[in-house]
Amino acid sequence: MISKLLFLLSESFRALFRAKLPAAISSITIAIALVIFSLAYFSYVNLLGYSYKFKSKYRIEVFFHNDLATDDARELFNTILISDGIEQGEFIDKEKASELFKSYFHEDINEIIGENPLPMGGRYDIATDYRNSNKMRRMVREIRRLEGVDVASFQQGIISRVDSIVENILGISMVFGIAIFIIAVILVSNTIRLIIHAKQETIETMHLLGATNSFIRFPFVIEGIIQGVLGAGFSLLILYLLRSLQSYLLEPLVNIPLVEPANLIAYNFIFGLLLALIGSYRGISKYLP
Amino acid sequence: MIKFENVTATYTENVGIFNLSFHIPKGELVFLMGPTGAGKSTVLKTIYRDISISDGNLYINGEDVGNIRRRHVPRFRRKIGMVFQDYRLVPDRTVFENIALPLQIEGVPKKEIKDKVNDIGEKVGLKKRINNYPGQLSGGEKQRVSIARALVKNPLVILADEPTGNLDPNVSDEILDLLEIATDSGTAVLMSTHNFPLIQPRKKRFIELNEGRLVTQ
Repeated sequence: MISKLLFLLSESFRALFRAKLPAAISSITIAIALVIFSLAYFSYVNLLGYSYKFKSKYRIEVFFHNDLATDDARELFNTILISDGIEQGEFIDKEKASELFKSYFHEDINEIIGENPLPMGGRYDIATDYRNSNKMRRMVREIRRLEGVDVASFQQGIISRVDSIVENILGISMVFGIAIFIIAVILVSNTIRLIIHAKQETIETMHLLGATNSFIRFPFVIEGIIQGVLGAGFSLLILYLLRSLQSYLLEPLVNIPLVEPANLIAYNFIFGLLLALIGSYRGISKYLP
Repeated sequence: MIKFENVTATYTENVGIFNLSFHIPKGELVFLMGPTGAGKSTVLKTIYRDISISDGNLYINGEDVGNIRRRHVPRFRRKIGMVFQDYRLVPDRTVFENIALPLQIEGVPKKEIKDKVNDIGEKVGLKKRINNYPGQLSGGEKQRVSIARALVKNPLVILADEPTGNLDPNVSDEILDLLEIATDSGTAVLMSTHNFPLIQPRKKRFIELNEGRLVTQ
């Protein structure tokens, strides 16, 4: 058994060495696919980080009717505070409203018109799961229904725009990623097909000598695994060069804080193997039934 | 060793072998004669289960070939040595590696492979060519490699499909000598040929076919 296994392993390396060009094309294809995946994943992680930071500033602002007593206003504030989707809130009484006015316009409202006409209200931060335009619109609609609420609003235009940009980028990345995956699988399986075609007579002879299907297929699977590992290695090398180039050329000019995704090396090897195995399996089952 | 009992095996309705019966005992060399298209190769293909029997029974060393399950065919083929007119050597392997192939398929340990291959290489006169590639050999040498590959696993049966078809008369005679030597260890040899002058002096039994049917034996 061990002798057979050693023979099959040596056969795999030997076959790979003999079919250097197709194997190299296959590994490079896997590497290109992995580089694109890694860049998409890198962009996704950074985009998600930025969008999370931006979305953490999402809030709903509520203004109460001016004739509401302070105690009633506090009660109304608390009612809104415990509703779904609100993470935390800040009660704005007349004094605080006046301070805010001053901080925005550098004028004291009491001095301008002799009294404080500003209404009481509240500012509410939104829970993570509710930070999108649709959910926030629904929340605002509910708040507006409450008695004593004069105005409830959020920055709908910007939030809708951000949501649609993030969704579009993720959608395009996903479609692009799937397309690259399919192309890589087809190319790997075609490489395996070429190798099988070139070895057709040898395969027939092996069958006549009593080789089982698994004995004949095994070296192709190992070849696939080696191509996957080589592809992942190439991909990491290209990514390292791209990162060095970015540090050398762009960092002195623009300082964009970038997050490097954890486990990128492991993901490259896992996806490389996955691509190679699916490609080999497709090639073997189609052309070596 | 090889027993055909009213065997019929067909490719299409009128092409194949029909109602064939004969017996080849252990250690005998038998020639399968007949013109092109007589069914010689079909007989051999039926034995190594490349085509299925549609009627009758075929036994190899008592094992009913028709009843062998598809997944057990590779194991069954390991008991048979095959020699082809076009040699069917693996071009990117040395003589040693070509002869060793059936043993590697069986999972024989490396040391045993080395001993057996060197031994058989010497017997068929390929000792000096053991590290050469098939492309560096003459037709006769290639056929010796093919015979050595068949002999190395001590098969029950050797099937030789026109093994001298591409060789000149002197070399053909040497190939026949090697096949005859194989019978010494009890192997039954069935060799197809249409070269009657080659086998005539050997005074061996022959089976003659025509259009898939037995003419004489």
